[in-house]
Formats: sequence, structure tokens, C-alpha cells
Amino acid sequence: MKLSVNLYANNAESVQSIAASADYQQQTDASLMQLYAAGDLRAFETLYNRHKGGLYRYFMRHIREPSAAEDLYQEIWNKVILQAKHYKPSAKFTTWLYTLAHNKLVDHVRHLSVVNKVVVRSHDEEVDESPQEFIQSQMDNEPESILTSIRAAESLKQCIGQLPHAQKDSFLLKEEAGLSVKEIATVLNTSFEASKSRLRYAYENLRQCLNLKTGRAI
Amino acid sequence: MSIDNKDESFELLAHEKTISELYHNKECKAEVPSAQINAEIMAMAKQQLLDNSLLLIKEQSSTNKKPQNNTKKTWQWPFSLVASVGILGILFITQKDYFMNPSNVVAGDAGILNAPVMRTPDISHDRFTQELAVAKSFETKKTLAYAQKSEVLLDKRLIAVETKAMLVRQAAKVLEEQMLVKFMLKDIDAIESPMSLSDMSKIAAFLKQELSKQNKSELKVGTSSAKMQQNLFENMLQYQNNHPDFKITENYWGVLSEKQLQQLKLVATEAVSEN
Repeated sequence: MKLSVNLYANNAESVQSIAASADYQQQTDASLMQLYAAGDLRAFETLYNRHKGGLYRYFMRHIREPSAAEDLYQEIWNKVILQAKHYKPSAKFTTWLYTLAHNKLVDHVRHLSVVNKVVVRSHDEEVDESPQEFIQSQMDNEPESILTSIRAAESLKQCIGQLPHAQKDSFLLKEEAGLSVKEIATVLNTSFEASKSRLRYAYENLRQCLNLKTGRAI
Repeated sequence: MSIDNKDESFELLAHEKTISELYHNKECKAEVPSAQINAEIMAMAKQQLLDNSLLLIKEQSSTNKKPQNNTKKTWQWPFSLVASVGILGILFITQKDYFMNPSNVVAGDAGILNAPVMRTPDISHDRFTQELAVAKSFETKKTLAYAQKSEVLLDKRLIAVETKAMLVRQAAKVLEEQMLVKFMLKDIDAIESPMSLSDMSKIAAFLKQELSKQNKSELKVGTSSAKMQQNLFENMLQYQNNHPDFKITENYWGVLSEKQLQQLKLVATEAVSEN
């Protein structure tokens, strides 16, 4: 009898929690932030689960050292937690989050004094660079890895890693954060046209890189 | 490359869609933050909520205290208003004359300036000149009042000084007389050396003064003055003997008795006959 009561209670709790989580899942990012600011930890948990993977990979793809990427990732979430009280849903949460992340990344790069080493080229330079030249340069650098790579996903990751910084940034904001070109332009503080151009070049470079890596045309 | 350059739309091309699909494969999305990182971030979020709730409790406790401050604030204005009115009232009561009839107001405690406060006539339209004239008249009055005040003070001081000087003079005179009396009494007690003519005339003058004070023709027997008179007589006798050509002047007439004068005359005639 007791066992059945306990089971019933446990089931009720689990049902309630599922219903609650379903409710949270339906909430927008901005409302989740407001709920968290009001003292709801579950709202933050939902928000965190929603964006943790994308933001984590955004840093991991930019910074080769995983510990440094993890540090930056934690710093960003700490910032989100601290600023939740003052958060106003004037812009899309994702745009705000990735603006923080992008600025943090730029600060980090400057801090390490590797700005010159990291391929941060101006928009004009990137536009002028042809995909063929880029692939040729990659082949010269790592010919063996290109030939031996068989897995497309792994190849894609490698190709992303070889993209110029601005193109990589645009691509990751598009694919990981799911931002529109306009939002990418806002985050990167560039024009719409420049962001679109970067994206096109990024995809084109990746296509050629993958063609070379996998040996089949995409 | 594409036709979407003119507007703000962005459509993925075929190969771009393939790459995007490839990127969203499980293998590419395999990288996720570790459970430790997740736990740390959730702990941070929880801690922040706790801090916020503590802050909220503090704020609430401070707001509970606020009503006292509010009552203080609400009564602050009326109190200050009443106090201001009270001060003005006291000022009006104490300075009633000035407010009611400023022409009757006398400047200064000593009443030096009896003239009423002048109002500068509206001679010119120039305000600066007007103000200058007012300032000048005020300055002049102030200087005049000060001068008059200082004059009065000076007079008072002079009177005080003169009174003091008179008192000193009187004291000196009394002291001199006392000294003279003492000196004479000393001489009376021990007549060893004869008196000079000046000393004798001084004693004669003193005795004359004493007689005039007492309004009497003769001095009382046994008093110090009588002793002095006797002493004077003896000295004059001695002086007459030594100086036969000496003649008794008017100074000594009233001072010595008739008997003494006759004796002196006798001595004088004897001296002349001897010569």
C-alpha cells in the first residue's frame, strides 16, 4: 500500500516537472531571462541548456586551447547571470549573448597579443581573396591531413578551423547561434552587405576545402 | 552569385545547404561543455539568486524604516515655516518703530544722530548715481556720528583726568602741609640752629592761614600752632639780635601776638641804640 502511494507521488512529481519543463521550453529567451531575474532558477536552467552547446562550440572553434575556451565560456555565462537583473528585452537574447561572446573573444585575442598572428583581415582583403588561392595555401600547409581525412564531419571541422577569422565568425554565428545576416552584422558591427559577403566566401571556402579533403564534389 | 543582394534577405545556395546540414550532424555537435562546467555555472546562478534575495530583504527592511523618515520629512516644512514666521514676528515687534515710522528712528545708543534717516531724492534717473549718493550720505552720517561720539568720549575723559589731577594736587598740598608741620615741630623740639628768614616767612604764612581758617585774632594756647608761634617769635628774636637792621614786615604782624611784637620792637630799638 505504502509502496503504491510512494510510486503515485513520484509519478505525480515527475509529471509535474515534465509539464513545467514543457512550459519553460515554450518560453522565449527574453521571458526566461526575466523569470530568472525574478528568482526562477529553472528558467535559467532551460535558457542555459538551450544555448550552452552553441556558445561552447563558438569558443572551441575560435580558440585552439580548450581550457582557454572554457574559461571564456564561463566568463560569458557569469556575465549573463550578473546582468540578468538589468536585462531589458530590447534586442534578441541570442544577439546580445553572442555580442558579449564576440567582444570577449576580441579582448582575449588582443590580450594575448596575437592579433597580428590571427588572421583578422579587413573586409576588402577578404572579398578580394579568391577561394582557389585559399585552398591552395591550405594544401601547401597540410597536404597529408587533407589526403588522409575520410570523415566529412571531421574534415568540415578542420576546414572551419582553417577559415579566416571573420569568415569563421560569420559562419559560426549563422550555424551555431542561428542568427540572421542582419543579426550577424549587428554582432560583428559591420554592414549587412559585408556580413553576407563573408558568409558566402566562408561557405565557398568550406566547399572547396571539403572537396579536396573528401575527394568528392559538394 | 545570388539574386538576394539587393534586399536584406539571405537564402542558402544548394552547396551551402549541404554544408549546413553536414555541420549540424551529430559528430559536429558532439562538443558540449562538461558536467563540471555546467554544475559550476548553475551554482553561480543559484548563488546570484541568493544574493539577490538577501539584497531584497535588506531593501525591504530599509523600506520599513522609511515611514519614520517620511514623517520627519512631512513635518520638516511646516516646522521651518512656523519658525521663520516666528523669527519675523519677533523682529517686527522689537523693531516696530523702524517699520511703522522710520523717520523717528534715532541712530545710535547715545542719540548722537537725531536727524531722521535721509531718503535720497530722485534727482536723476541714473540708478547708479542715485545709489552712489545714498552711499555717500550714509558714509558722511556715519563719519559724523563717529566724530561726535568720539568728542563726547574725549570730553568725558578730559573731565575725568582733570578731576584726578585736582585730587592729586589737593593730596600733594595736604601732604606738603603735613610735612611742613612735622618739620616745624621737629624744630620746636630741638632748636639748635637758627631759622632762616625764608623759613620764618613760611611759618608766618602758615600761621596766618590757620588764623584765617579759625576766624580768630589769636591762637589757642597749647596747640601746635601756638607752639609754632612761640618758636617763630624766639627765632625772630635771635634773628633780630644777629641782624640789627632787620625790620619786622607786615607778614608777621597778624601772626605774632601784640606782646611779642612789642618785645621785638624793644629789642630792635636796643640794638639800634647800641650801634
